[in-house]
Amino acid sequence: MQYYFVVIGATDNPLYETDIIPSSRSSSINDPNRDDHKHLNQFIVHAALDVVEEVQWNTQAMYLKSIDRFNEYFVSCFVTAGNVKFMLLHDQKSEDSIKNFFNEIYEQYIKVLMNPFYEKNSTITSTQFDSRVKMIARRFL
Amino acid sequence: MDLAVNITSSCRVRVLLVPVAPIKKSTFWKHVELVKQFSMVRLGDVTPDLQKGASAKFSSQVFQEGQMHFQFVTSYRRDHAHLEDFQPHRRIFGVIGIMDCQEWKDKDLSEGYKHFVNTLNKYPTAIATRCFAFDPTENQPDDTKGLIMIPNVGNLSFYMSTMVCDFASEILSQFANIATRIESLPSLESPMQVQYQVPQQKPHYTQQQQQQQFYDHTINNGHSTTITPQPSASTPTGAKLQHRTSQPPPTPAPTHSTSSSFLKRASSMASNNSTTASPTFNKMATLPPIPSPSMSRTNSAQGTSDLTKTKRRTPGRIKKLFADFYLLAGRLPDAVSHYQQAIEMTKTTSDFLWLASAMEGLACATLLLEYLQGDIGHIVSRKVDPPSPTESPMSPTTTNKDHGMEDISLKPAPSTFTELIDQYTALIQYYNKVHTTSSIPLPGLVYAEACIKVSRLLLTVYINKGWNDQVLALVVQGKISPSPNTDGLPPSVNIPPTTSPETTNKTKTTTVIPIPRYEIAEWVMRIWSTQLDQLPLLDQINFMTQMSTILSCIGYHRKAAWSMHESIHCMLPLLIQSRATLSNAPRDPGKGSEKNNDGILQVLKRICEVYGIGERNVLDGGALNAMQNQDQGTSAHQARSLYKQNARVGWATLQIDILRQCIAISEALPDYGSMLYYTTVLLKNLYQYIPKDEQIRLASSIQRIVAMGKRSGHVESNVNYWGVNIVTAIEAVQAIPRKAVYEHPVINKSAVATTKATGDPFIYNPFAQKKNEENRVNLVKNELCEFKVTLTNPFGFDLELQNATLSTSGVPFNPVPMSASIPAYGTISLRLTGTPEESGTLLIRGCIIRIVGFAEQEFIHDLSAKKKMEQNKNNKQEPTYEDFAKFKYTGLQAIQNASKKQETNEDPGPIEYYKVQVIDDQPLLKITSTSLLHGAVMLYEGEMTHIKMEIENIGNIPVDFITLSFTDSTSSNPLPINTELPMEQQYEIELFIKDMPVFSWEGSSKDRTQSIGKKIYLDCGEKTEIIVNVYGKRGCSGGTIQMDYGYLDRLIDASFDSTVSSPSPPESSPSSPSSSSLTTSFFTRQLYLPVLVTVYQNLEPLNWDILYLRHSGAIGANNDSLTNNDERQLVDGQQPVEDLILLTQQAFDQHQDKNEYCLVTLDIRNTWTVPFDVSFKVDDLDKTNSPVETVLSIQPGWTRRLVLPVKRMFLSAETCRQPIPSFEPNKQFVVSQGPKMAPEQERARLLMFWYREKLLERIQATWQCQSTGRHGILNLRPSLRLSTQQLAILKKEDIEFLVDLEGPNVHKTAHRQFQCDCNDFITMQVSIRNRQVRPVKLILRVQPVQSYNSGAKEYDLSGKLLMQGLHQIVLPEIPANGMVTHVIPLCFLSRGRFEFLYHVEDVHTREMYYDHDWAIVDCQ
Repeated sequence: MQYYFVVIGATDNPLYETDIIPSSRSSSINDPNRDDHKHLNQFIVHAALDVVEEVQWNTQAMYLKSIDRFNEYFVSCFVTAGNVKFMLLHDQKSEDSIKNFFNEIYEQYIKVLMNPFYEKNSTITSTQFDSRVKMIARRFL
Repeated sequence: MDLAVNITSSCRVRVLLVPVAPIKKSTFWKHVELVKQFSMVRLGDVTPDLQKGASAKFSSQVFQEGQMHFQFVTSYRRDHAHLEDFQPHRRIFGVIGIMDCQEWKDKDLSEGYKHFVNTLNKYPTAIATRCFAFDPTENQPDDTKGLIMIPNVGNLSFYMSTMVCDFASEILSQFANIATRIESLPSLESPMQVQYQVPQQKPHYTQQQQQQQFYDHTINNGHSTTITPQPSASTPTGAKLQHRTSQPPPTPAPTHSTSSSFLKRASSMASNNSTTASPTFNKMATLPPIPSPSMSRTNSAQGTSDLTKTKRRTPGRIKKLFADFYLLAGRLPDAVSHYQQAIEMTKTTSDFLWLASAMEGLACATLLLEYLQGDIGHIVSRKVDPPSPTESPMSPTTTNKDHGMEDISLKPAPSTFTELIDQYTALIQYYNKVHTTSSIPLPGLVYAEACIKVSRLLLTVYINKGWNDQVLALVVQGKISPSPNTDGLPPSVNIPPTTSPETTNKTKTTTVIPIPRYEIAEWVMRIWSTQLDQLPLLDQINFMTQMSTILSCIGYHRKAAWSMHESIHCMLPLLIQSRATLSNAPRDPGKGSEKNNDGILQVLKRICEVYGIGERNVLDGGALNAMQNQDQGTSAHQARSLYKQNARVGWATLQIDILRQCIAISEALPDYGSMLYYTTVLLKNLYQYIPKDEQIRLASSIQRIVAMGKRSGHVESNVNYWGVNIVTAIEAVQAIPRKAVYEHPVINKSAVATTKATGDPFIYNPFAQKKNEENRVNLVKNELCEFKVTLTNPFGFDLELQNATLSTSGVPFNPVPMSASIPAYGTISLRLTGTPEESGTLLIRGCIIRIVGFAEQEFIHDLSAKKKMEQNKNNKQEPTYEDFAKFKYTGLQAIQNASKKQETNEDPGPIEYYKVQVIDDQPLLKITSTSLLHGAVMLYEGEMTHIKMEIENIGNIPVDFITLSFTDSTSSNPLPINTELPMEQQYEIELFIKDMPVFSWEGSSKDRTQSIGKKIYLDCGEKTEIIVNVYGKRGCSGGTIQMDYGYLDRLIDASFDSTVSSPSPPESSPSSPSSSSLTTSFFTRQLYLPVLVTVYQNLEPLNWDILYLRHSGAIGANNDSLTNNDERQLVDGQQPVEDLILLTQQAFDQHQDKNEYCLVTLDIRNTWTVPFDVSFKVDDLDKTNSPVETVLSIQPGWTRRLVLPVKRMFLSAETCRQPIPSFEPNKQFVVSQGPKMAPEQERARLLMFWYREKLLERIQATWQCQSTGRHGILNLRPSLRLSTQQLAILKKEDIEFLVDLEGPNVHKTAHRQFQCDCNDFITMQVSIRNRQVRPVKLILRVQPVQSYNSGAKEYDLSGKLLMQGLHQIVLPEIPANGMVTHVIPLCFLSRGRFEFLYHVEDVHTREMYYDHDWAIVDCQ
């Protein structure tokens, strides 16, 4: 079970990226073709944006559930009010926990936004955000 | 090969069209188009089989409404051969040769036909062949058997349709043969494919030969044509043909299928039966790369159980194949029924692969049936009906009308569409289950095609917005939309991403079925789930392109781009291989490949755009222009856009991936232009994300590409590659002090007036706008100047700069090139030099830099951006509109719009260049020699000496103005003035700092703030001498002589000229810009001479005192001699001090009652090692008296006391009331923090100050050293401290008493000492003088006292003295400066010494005034 989480800004640019590897699977860090995998993940998520752009106008919810799948991977999405997309690539369906995960992340993201030094649509470099995201991931995923 | 796999493609009969060489390409294609018009044949029109008639298995007469669909292809690959047994529609059923008779004018046509027959060997599956010879001439005989001449006269279409119908009939009859063979098969196996190998090692042609050999054995037995297998080599023709016609590069060899085609087998068996065994058959068996079919089967370790399973399943499979053939033959009802049977049978044996395939066929059949129903109405199966002769020959155009009246109620319902989808959803599930029941894996191709079929169907419905007859027709025709442009080809290039294709046609019966786009995408994306990389490369590419076609049609551009990216990824090895073969082959790269390249490049461009690295979003530094060979000169606007702010768009890591691929592709083509473009884009836009070593690699590859491109002529040499501006700052450097030029305003009255008018009450106003004039640098014409240029290298590799020069405009400028190297991620500052050749304004545009290995480029330095930033910083309180980052669009729209916005925003604000003023030539002076030794001078305190300097003009123009200014250590580092100090001390400190200049010269004026220059004329090369005076000031350790010089004549001349030459009257001329600009300022240069000064203290005055000159008993010589003595001794210079005192005691006392003199004494110590002569001069400012002078010589280490008679003085009240002056004219008034003093005290202080000043003014001392001849001033000021007592002595009183006795025997012995006789009536006159400014009214009290010699005093004088009147008298008011005399008559009655004490008291203020000496009368 492995997750890839990315926050995508207005111009298809990633604001924040992380691989979430549950501690039980930490051995997979040494996976030889992990690097290929990473790029594949990015391609999958990028391609899923097409679907997001269609689906987000058909619903009022911010959480769009699992919107796309690629082979055994699912892509879940959460669109914020500012049209920033949280995308999570996962290989097991668990809507509730992902929903909770996204909601928590949204809270953290808003905190980032409130930082007067943070410029919109720029990369999130806050280490606190990073650690919080990982903590939330540990809690919900 | 057909690119577009359609849902109805399984009903098409594939017919290959081959050219019979020689034929022109265009002619061939023209005829292909012609043949393609007849792709649909009504079964009713097909020529009935004459032998068997309606009883033939696939008789066309049974179901006359049915249609046969031909798919005319021009290329054919064998890599799906293993599937041909499974899905018959994949095979080539017929071959039609196309011959151009025009090419065969002189030769025999049969020759060509023979060629054609030979080529047929390659197509073993073809069961029917034809050879059409087009455009025959009259004289060409139509005698070749098997060759069909198509005349170009008459009803061509009718003729052609007849021919095609004939052809169809033959195919149908052959179907029957095949069917019988299928029926007789003992077992039917699922298709299996050998592991795909990329045949990279094998050269192309050998493969071709192998294939040739492989197919040679197969004997195509035809009914109409009997072809004897001839292994004559028709290879060149075939190869050429394939190369020409195939859309993808033909290089990859098809795979070899292990599953032997039952058709082949059947045919070979048939041939075995009918004719002799072919020798080539054995040859095939022995060929190593092709395993024999039986071997592969038995060896595949499936065991016997599998074999039995296969046997069990065979009947169902045969049914399915029959159904397939019925479908191909157009007999839809039979097809449907067979499919249904097949489905049932395969379901029971859980033969999922065949089941799903049968369902696919069924879906196709039902669809076609519906189409036919829509077309011709109700259908009655006429299986048993004999064919009616009237119906058989009918043109397709009339068919519709005949059956137009029939039942319309059975229109296709929308439900059929949903049914189809459901069916496909189910069959996909079956496909997924294949591996559960069979050890033979699912062929990925079949699965993928099924997905493609569904998604294309969905797409068609989606684009046409519903399901109706027209859509159905489109589906059957295999088109997506009615517009002819988008069928077949991937529309990716044609359709702009934002606009979805629209259909304009509207029909009444349209049933709107909303299909969400993601549903289509889901079907498409299912293709991924098959192991695509297991498929042959060409198939992979094919699927990818189909996917991208569909995805881009539904506006899923990212997904489309991804699949395009993947497809290109697959193409890459093919491209590399093709290039390898091209380079091996002796021919030059053909034009055909060029055309193909373009397509790929277009695809790359499109991928880039989707990923946010389209041409408008990136910095390419003009590489694109180079690619398109555009003119560089027209890109004035482009120069700006080079440096436009690169808004980060897209996903950097993906962009890097994409760009790397683009580079690889363009390298494989090879296309140097685009290679260069993509490399530069990658380097310039994403260098932040690229590791250092790769940056280095990219940079070096750019150079390599350029070199190669130049060689091949693809790339122009003069290209700018560096979009990143490495110039960050340019600044003019002030020249060294000796050469620097200083600007001075020319003071004219109007300017002064304005400054006064705007006058500020504050000397220093912190809020006043300050002009930032300090760092303004002026360049001098024809002189080398320096600029500090800061360069930054954002890349991870060192940049070698060659030939970096300044780029300027305005005044002609002669720059000096320079080379440097900027380290990776580093910043350096260069000092670029150059010479301006004219005076005026010089604009520094930037730098022209040539980076090693690249073209020279101008890097423009724009100040306006920086200014804007500063402005924004300044007025923060009102944030402007642009400050907020706004994102109106997101995703792809944002990418599209970002570039537009940038273009519109570009216009405001022209480029602002750095401006520098260049002024006319300036002279240059040099100090050639000075009188100083080592630049140092030693002085005694107060000494005056002078320095000589010799200066020479080493410049090009004369000097006409020189002024000197000085600084010294005491004035440049002044003692801090503590404002808490008393004013007197502050005055002393200020005086020391300001009023005693160490240096001075003839040009110095009294007022130190103004220094007046001197007009001289010094021509080039001339020398002159300047003398500077030096004063030995205590504490001075050094100083600087600064010499400002210039050539001002030009200024005057020019202004004069301008006024003369201008036609306007001189009054208005000041407003004209020329004159005003000329007269506002002038320029000077400076020379400095630092001087070290050492000041030694030689003489020290101390112990000041001021004493009364009191009356004394001894009166020496008479007055006259004394005055004479005085004069004599002055000349002598050795006047003893005692004499001086005597002189002053006696002087003028006869005239005045009061002594005018007081004594000033002081000690002078010689602290130096040589004797000094000190001369004092006391100037009492009397016109009548010449000043008193005295000289005394002091030996080293000695102290001598000096006594000086100084006239007492009286300063008027106005003088004394003046505040203590300050030398700082602009001193800010600060209210004193100290305690307020009482007014009397304040007055006393002022009094003290002013009297001291006066005293110092009167006494002047100089010294002289006899041995060395040095002389100087002795500064008395620091040692003089007055006490109040001393002041009282020095000062004349306000109220003065004058006492005199008058009588017959009164004799004045000394000052206020009188002798008189006893019993004599005398009068005492007491005069009171008022020196105050106001009149006073006083009471005078007089008290006579008798004093005895013992010192005792007797106050009771009743018997000794007679005095008239009261002792206390109120005097009349004394006016200012007036005098009142009170006369007291006296008569002494006894002898003795009497003293008269007196004082006055002010009536109003009760202030008492005393006299410090009293009158003494000795009565005898």
